[in-house]
Amino acid sequence: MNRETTDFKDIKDLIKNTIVDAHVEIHDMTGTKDHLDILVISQEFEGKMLFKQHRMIMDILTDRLKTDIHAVQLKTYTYNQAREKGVYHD
Amino acid sequence: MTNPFNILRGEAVTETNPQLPLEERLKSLIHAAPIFLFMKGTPDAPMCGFSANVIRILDSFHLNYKSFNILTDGDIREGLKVYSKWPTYPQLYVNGELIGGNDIVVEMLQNGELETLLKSAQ
Repeated sequence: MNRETTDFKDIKDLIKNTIVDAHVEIHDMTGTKDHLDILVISQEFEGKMLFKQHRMIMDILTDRLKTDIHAVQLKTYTYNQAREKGVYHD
Repeated sequence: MTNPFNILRGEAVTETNPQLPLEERLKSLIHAAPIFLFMKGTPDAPMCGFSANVIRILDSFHLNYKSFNILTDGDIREGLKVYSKWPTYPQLYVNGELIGGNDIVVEMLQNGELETLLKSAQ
């Protein structure tokens, strides 16, 4: 459990630098640290199309996707959506 | 590829004018069909799990679409990422517009938007 909070801290910080209210969870899908499952929860997604939400994250990760990250599986929710989906608890 | 039952599905294309400037090549591929997928591999032999998943979803609608195997051309592979400002593959285009990658396609399948979008492309 503790692994998650330490692993990929640099990527979490990168996202939080731009989306300051973001709650970010990252899972290593393959054990190779280059296929990442990324969950981002932020109020900034409110009223934005899914494509726009993903574009915000892709823009942040563009440089990393050129180097050490090979693929990402992305989920973006507002805090309300995340609570409804049961993936976020206050 | 023989197709005795005339099942509608994806067709991998090759470029007709690879000598054109890169941006022209990208635009002509994007507009090569109303539904166009840049992917790793071909619809018959996808080379990546995410590409395979989008192919499965597209095939489930029994529509015509075309695809380009970005593993066959490094210029297209790197150039499209810059042109579309989208750093990963697959990339799905409908009527020349980037829709997104696997995650967006799956989400739109689940909320019903994908069917509406794909049918509007025919």
